[in-house]
Amino acid sequence: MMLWYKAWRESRVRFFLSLGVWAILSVSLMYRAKLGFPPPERPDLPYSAWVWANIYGNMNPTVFIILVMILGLGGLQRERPVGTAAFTLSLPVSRMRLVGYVLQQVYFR
Amino acid sequence: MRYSMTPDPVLQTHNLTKRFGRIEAVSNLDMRVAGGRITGLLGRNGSGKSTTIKMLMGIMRPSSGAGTLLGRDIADASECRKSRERVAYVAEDKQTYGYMTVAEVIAFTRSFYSDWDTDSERRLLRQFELPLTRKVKALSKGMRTKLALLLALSRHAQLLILDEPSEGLDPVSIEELLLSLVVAAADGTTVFFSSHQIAEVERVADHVCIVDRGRLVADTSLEQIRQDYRRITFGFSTDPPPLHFSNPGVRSVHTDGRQVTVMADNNADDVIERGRSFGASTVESTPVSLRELFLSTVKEDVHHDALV
Repeated sequence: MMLWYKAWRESRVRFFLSLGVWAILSVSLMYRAKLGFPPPERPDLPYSAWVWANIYGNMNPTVFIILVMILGLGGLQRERPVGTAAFTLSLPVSRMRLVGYVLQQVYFR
Repeated sequence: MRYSMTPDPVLQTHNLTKRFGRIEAVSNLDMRVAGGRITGLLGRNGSGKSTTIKMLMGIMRPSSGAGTLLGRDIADASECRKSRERVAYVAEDKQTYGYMTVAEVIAFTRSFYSDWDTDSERRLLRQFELPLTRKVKALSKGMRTKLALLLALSRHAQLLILDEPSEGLDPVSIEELLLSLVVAAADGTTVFFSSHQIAEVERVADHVCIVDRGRLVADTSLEQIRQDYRRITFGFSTDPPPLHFSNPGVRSVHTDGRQVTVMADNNADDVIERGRSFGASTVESTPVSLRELFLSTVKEDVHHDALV
């Protein structure tokens, strides 16, 4: 449980940054919907299909990948330069578990 | 202090080696540390003390060789994790998580160990005057060291490993630290600490291992140094002949003009007799301090390397 807490504390700034980026993208999508839905070339396009195309089309998958990479940053490599790696690695926990908690947090987010 | 007749080793290494590229930080280290006592690992900066400790803790993988910590193989990750449950460790950096408060770091660390002692934690908090609500990144270096010590000393660990524990502490805090080590040993905890401060080791250790250039160059008890180690100075009325001391126990021989100094770790009487047989006119035998032993051992090592 405490490793969850540690992983959260270490990544929460990045999490809120990613949330902010996602919020901006969502607001811009709604704004575009007001201006450009339905598109003149496809007046019969359902709204859900338009939303789908806008989220998973264009550059958005790339943005998703970047956000996941930002959330996944950190772990032991990040601890080495600040000098806490020895403290973390001396805990009675396997390295697999240490890395696992970081990956789990990224996955759940 | 508790001693058993044949103390089991709490840690031992066999040909333990760590290479960083072409540099050999630890070189075929054979070391054995017995339980129930305070052992000081003495060496100059960069002599391989911290690297040895990191390998023992499973933080760093050895390049070759083997070792055990509390009877468990240090090369086996699972075994190493189990031994860490019973070992309290203070790393060279003494860094904990800067974004947490002192109270949070204590709560975080406490959650991993079943041998945590809340009374010791409270006592050390009072003794070290650590501010519970302050973030670690806002603590001074000395305070951070005290926090790292608190995290290690608040447990009933079987083995306490400290890497340069007094670094960054003021003289009063060093006194408190040394006292804490003696108290921990009296409570049955084996203490193994590295230092390049000879005075600290001399004050609290029962046993000393000296490493230089990644090799073990001396492994002896402080009691043996006091009882058996002698510096024997022979004076000659003319230039002395080339002296060959084949006696067991002779560690080094230095000639300076008409004076020959022999460092012996036992058999001082035989060495004196041998010196007299060479025609020495005066003989002076004095006990050897840890400082003298350390300096002579390390210098001898450097001299030997230069000759090779």
